[in-house]
Amino acid sequence: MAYVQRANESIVDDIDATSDEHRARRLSIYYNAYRIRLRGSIEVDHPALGVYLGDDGFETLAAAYIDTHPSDQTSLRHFCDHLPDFLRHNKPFSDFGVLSQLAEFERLLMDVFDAADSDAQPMDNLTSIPATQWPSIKLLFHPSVRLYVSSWNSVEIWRAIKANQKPPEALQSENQAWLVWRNFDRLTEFRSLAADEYAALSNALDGVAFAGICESQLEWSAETIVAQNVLDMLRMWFTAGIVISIDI
Amino acid sequence: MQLPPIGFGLGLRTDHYQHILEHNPDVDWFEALSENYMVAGGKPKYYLHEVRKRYPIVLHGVSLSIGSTDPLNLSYIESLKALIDEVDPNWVSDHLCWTGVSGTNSHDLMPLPYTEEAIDHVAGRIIQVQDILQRPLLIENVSSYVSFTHSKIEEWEFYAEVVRRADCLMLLDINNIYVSARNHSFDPDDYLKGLDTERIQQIHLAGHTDNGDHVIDTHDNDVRDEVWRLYRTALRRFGMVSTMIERDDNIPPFDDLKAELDLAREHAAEALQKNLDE
Repeated sequence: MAYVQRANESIVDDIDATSDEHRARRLSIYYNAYRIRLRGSIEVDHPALGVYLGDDGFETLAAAYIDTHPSDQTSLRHFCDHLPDFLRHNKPFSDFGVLSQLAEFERLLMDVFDAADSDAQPMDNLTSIPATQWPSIKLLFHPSVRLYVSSWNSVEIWRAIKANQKPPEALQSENQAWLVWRNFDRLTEFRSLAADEYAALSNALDGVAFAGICESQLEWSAETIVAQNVLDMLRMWFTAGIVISIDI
Repeated sequence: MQLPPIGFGLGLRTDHYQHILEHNPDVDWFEALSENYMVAGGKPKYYLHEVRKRYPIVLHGVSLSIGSTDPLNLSYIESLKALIDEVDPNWVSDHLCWTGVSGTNSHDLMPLPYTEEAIDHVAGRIIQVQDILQRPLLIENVSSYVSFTHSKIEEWEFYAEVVRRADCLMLLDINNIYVSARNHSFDPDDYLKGLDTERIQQIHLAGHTDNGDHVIDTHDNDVRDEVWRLYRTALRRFGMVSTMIERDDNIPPFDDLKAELDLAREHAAEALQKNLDE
């Protein structure tokens, strides 16, 4: 391991070979394979980041990340778990805040892709509950559900690259929340969330009951319509298939 | 000790999921890479279970790191056990190698020194894993590009002794024998002659890249003639062994791989017929 990481070369003396040149050439097969494999993992898991950085930028990132974060997992699926943090804290990448958020979004898509399975509940199971019990209703969500908050236009950049279009210029903005989930056909979907729905969904994911969600929504809705507004949000969540249990 | 043979299989690859489910191709079984399915759910698990409903599955791992001096990764083994319980594979395999040390993973199949000490170490760890999994393991020979000055015996002697002491089975990679034979200048026939017929449960075939003074196990092209030749020699020696073709890169359309598997059937029939004729 130390050899392929260029940490030390003490193993060289233990290699049976006809010459120093022969020994070095054979060992380099392992060194090259190590770097090619890890570089490939970054490229496969972060295709949009790779395109956005361009060839030179990507190679610089791959080399720096491989040197800084040797794999500590049995599966390459998790090799890039530290990548968003690495981009956030290491120059020159940290000078471009959008890079870390783009990497974070791509990792989140992977988490959604292979999150646990669970059957969605139909809306009828909610409407059949007597109104008197509604205040204490709590929802449990599909394991794939994730909330993503960006302060850069990282999702727009991701979307443009995915569509083989020129990405927009990176722009810092007000925080924008996104709901990301896996749908009935096991395809990943995402949509932006307004501030009120983001607050409601955050509360619901934290186990806050219907009455509590309504109360927190008074920041955005008048008391006379708040319950209806929350009900409309719940309807969207059920329709998307992200509610898997209704606890009373 | 040996499990019943199951014919001719292919590796289960994401590029082919849809084709397999739509066409139910004439393949006897599929080999799934264990680590690809050690996830909570989603498409990988869905397709694995759908394929399992139609075909026998064997599980093939790359991360057991049975030769490492790190403690056995019990969390990995527990995940493997959970996958085994889910899939009910015909058998489970991994490699005679180490993949990491001190908690760092190379994601490569690193060779071992062929010593008595290493035999003890590896065989003991295989026995522990088999105890946890409650089933025999198949252990596969790897390709190598270096050998160690510490080695006291030949690779095949090491392999045969580890398997005998651990009382496990062999997944014999014919391409790896060829690759290592070229890289270390030994006769691949000597390798085959040094193995116990009754331990050989499965065969891997794959393509390699010939760089003249060394050969690399790339799995990115067709099985070469010299490997087919060695495959026929192996079957004449060992009889019919469940055989699969490994393709991990530059993956062609399913029907191309299926045609190559049919070629394996022809080579096997020819080799086994020759045995009958003699």
